[in-house]
Amino acid sequence: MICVCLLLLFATDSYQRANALFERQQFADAATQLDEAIQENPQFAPAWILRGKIAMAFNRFDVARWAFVKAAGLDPASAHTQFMLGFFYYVDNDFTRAVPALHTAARLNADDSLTLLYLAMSEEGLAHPDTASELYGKAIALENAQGKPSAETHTAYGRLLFTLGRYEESAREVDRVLSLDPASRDGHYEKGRLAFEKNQFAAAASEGEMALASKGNGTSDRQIHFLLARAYAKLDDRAKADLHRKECEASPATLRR
Amino acid sequence: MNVIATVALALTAVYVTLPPAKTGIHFVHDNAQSARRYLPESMGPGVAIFDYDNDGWMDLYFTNSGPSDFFHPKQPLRNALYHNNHDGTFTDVTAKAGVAGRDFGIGVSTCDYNNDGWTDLFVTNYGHNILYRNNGDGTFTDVTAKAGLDAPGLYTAAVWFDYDGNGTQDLFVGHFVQYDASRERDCRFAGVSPLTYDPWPSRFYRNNGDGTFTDVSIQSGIGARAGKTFGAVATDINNDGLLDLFVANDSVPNFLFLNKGNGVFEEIGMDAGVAYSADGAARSGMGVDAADYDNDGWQDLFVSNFTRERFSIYRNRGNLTFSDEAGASGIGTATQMYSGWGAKFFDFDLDGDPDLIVSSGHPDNLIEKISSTLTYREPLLLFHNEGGRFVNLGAKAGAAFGERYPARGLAIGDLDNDGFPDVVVANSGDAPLVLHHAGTTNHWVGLNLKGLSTGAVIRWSADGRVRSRLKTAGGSYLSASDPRELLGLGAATKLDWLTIRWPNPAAKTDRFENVAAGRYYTLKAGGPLE
Repeated sequence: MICVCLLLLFATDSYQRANALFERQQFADAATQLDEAIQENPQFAPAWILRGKIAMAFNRFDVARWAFVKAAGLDPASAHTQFMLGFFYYVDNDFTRAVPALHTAARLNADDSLTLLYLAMSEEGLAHPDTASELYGKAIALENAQGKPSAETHTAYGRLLFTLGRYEESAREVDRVLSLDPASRDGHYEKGRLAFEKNQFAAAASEGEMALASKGNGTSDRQIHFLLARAYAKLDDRAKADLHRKECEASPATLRR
Repeated sequence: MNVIATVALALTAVYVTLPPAKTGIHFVHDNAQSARRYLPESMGPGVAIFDYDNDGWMDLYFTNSGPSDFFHPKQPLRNALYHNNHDGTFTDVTAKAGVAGRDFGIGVSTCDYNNDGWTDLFVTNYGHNILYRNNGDGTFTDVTAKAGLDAPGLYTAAVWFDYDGNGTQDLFVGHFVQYDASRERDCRFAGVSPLTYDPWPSRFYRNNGDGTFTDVSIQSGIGARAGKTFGAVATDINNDGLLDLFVANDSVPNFLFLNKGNGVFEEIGMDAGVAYSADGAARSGMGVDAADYDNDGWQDLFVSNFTRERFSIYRNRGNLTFSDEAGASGIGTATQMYSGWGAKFFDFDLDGDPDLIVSSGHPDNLIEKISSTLTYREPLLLFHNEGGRFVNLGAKAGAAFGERYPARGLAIGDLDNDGFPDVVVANSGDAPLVLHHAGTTNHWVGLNLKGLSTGAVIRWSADGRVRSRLKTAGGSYLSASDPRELLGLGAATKLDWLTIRWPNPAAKTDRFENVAAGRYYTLKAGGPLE
C-alpha cells in the first residue's frame, strides 16, 4: 500500500525529461518520453496532465480531453489538476463543463486568482455577465491583496464591460491596465476603441497606432487595423483609412467554425 | 407603455400555439438531411404571409426541399400554399394554384411586380428560381424564363423595391456561396460550414414594366461585391427618399448599399460600421430587419448572427454611421448562445414602439455531440422594447417561447384580422409553428397601402404622442410578412392625425384626422381613407 502511495506521488525520470522537452517546445520528443513515463507509472496524474498539454499543442483536443479527465479521476483533490481540466474546457469553448471544474479548483485553492479569472471568462462565455463581473472583481481583489495586480485580468474585465456598453467602467479598467503596463498592446487598443465610441477619433487613432507599435499576443493586427481604418475615415484621412482597411482585409479572418 | 398594460403583459401569455389539428396546416418541411450533410440542407425553409386571392384574409406559403444534384427524394416534395378559410382554418390549394415549386426550395418573397393588383410569388431555390405570376383566378403561371430571371445558383433572400423611382418594383436576389455539391466536404464528423466555399455576387434586376427584367447587377454596383448572402432588407438609411439595401453575409462582411439615385449603389458597410463586429471580425449574418426602434427618425438595423457572436442592433447615428448597441440594449447577452435566423421588428403589444422577435436554431444537427453547452433546437425570442432596452420575455409571452425549435424563416401577419399580429415560424425538417396573438387592451389602426408603397413614411399622433414608420421591404430570413401596417395606439381610441408620404413617383403626402381605432383602412396615394 505504501509503495502504491509513493508511486502516485513521485515523478519518474522519464516524466521529468518529458516535462523539460515540453518546456522547450519539443513536443514530439516530449510525447515519446511521456509514453515511457506513463508506462512506468500510469497512476501519476501530472503525467496525464502533461499528455493533455502536449495533445493541445498538436491540436488533438479529443486526446487532450481524455487525458485531463483521466488526470482529474486519478487526483480529484488536486487544485492544479482541476484547474487544468477547467482550463482545457475553457479553451475548447465547453464552458458548461469548465465552470464546475474551475469551481472545484477554486474551492481547493482559494488563493489562486488565475482560477477565478478563468471562471469569470467561462461564465462570460455562458452569457452570465453579472456572475462574471462578480468573479472578475474577486480575482482583482485577490491579486491586489497578494500584491500581484494583473493587466490580463483588468483587460478581460474591461472587455466584458465594453461589450455590455458600460464604457465608463470599462475605461477605468483599461486605465488600470496601462498603469500596470504602459506599453500594453491590449490596453492601447481598448483605450482606442473606447475613444472611438466617444467620437474622439484623433485619440482613437493615436491609441491604435500605439497598440500597433506594441508587442503582445492578445489583440491581433487585424483588430487594430480595423480600429485605425474607421478612426482615420472619421478624420477624413482617406489615405491612412484605405491603407489600414487593406491591411485589415489582408489579415487572417478571426471567424472560426 | 402604461402600468396596466405592463402588468397585463406580465401576467398573460401573449401568444397561443395553434396546432395543425386546429389550423389544418399539415405541411411538414423535409430538410433532405443526409449523412454527408450538404450545405443547403440546413438553410431552409421560408414562409410567406400574403393575400393571394384578394379576399382580405392572409394566406400562407411554405417552401420545401426538392430534387437536386445531391438530393433525390423518394417521394415527390412540394411547396405548399394554404388558403385562409376566415375561420381560423386553412386549406391546402397548392395543386390547384400550381405553385408546388421545382428544384430545391429555399425562400420566398411576394410582390405585385406587374401592378395588376394581384400579389405574385418569387421562390428562391438551389437550382433555378421561380417567378409565379398571379393570374387573379386562384392560379399562378411560372413566368420565370419569360421574365428573364432564370439564372441557376444557390439563392436565399429576395427583396422587391423600386430603386429608381419609376413606379415598378425591382428585384434583389441574394446569392449564397459558389456552391458545388461535388466539392462538398464530408461533414459527418465536422460541423457544416460555409467556410469551404467562396463568396459569390448577388443579382439585381431592373423591372422593365412589361413583365420582363434586365440584369443590372454590374451596372448597379451590387453585383460587384461577392458575399455569402442570407438576409436583406431595403430601407432608407439617410432619409433622402431613396431606398438603400442592407445585406447580411455569412462569415464575410455585411454590405450596406447606399442608393446614389443615379441607378448606382455605393457599398459603405465598413465606413458605416455595420460590416464587422466591433473587433473587426466578420460574423455569420443571417436574418436582418430595419426599423426606427428609438423613434429618433432614423432607420436602425438588426442582424441575427451565429452562436457566441451575439446579434447586432445597429443604431443609426444620422450621419451614415451606426453604433452596435447590442451591449447597452441587452440584445447581446440575451442572444450570445443562439444562432438566429428570422427576425422582425413589430409592435406586438401595440404600444407604439417596435419590439423584436427572432427565430433561432443551430445549423448543425449534431452539435449536441460535440458541445455540452449548445443545442440544435433553440428558443424563439420575443423582446419587448422598453425605451431602447430590449427585454426577452421568454415563456411569459406564451408556452411556445419556453420551447425549442429548429427554426429558420419567420413572418408576421394578422391571420384573423383582429388587429393583433400573429407569428408563423418555418422549422427545418419539421412542421411550422403558428402562434395566435391572444390580444391586448391597447388599440390599433391597420393600413392597407395600395399601389407602390415600399418606402412610404407613415406618421401618426395618438394622445399627442407622435411616431413614424418607414415601410421597408424584405427583412427577416427567406420570408415575407403581411404587407399591411399595424399602428399601435396604446390606450388612445383614435389617431389625432395620420400622414402618409408616398414614395416616387407619387411623391405626395396624404393627411387624415381623427381616425378611429380598431379597423383596417385601405388607401391609395391621393385617395380617401376607406
